[in-house]
Amino acid sequence: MSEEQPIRPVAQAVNHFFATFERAQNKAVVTSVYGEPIPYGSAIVIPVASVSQMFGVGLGVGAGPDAESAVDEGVGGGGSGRVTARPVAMAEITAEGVDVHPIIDENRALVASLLFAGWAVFWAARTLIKLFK
Amino acid sequence: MNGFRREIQHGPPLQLGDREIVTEAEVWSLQAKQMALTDHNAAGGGALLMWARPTAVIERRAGTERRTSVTDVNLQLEIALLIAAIVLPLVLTIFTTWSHYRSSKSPDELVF
Repeated sequence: MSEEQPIRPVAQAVNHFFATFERAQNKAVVTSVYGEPIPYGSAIVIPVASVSQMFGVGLGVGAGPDAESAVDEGVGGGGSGRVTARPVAMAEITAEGVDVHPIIDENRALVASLLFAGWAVFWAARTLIKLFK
Repeated sequence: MNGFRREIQHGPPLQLGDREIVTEAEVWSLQAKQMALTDHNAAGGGALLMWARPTAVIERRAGTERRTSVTDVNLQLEIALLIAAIVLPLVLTIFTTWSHYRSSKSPDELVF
């Protein structure tokens, strides 16, 4: 067995993933931000979203000092990814023009407001304790 | 290519009579990848983060162009609350310090 045999497939796989990265980065993501136009009466509605994606991958192969022996070879790899889309607005196209209606995520706003309220109460209480101590 | 990138992308034009509707989005991406090869070992990996947000819907008619901005109200609210959460402790700390300073001085020593 030659020394390059275990390495070449991994190098090819890593290069393949890198090419996938490039394709994903260069892909027209604007088509995922704006949905398909939907006829609604005399108007056309386009759903609008904010899209985020992340993924990572790692691969490796190692051979022991004795390149002739297949016993010491090891190959491993892993990867993970995540894609999220959050509705932002609805674009309404009428004969008069384009109107954009924002979409408020009430749950998200409520959670953010509650977190801020808790933070504000903590600092107000801390300030009062310091003032009257 | 490794690194940070920002670009403006336009969607396919939607033809409605004499009007043309074009969507526009801003894409932020961060890419990192690396590969190491030695005589008996090979290792590689990489990561890609990407965020695409809508910026505007552009309407073109008879040589004129009208942009309608798309605002993310939820993001604006979160940014406002985040800024308030940073400013609030600073203001209260300054107030507490000033109050302690003021109470430790006699009225004659205070100079405004």
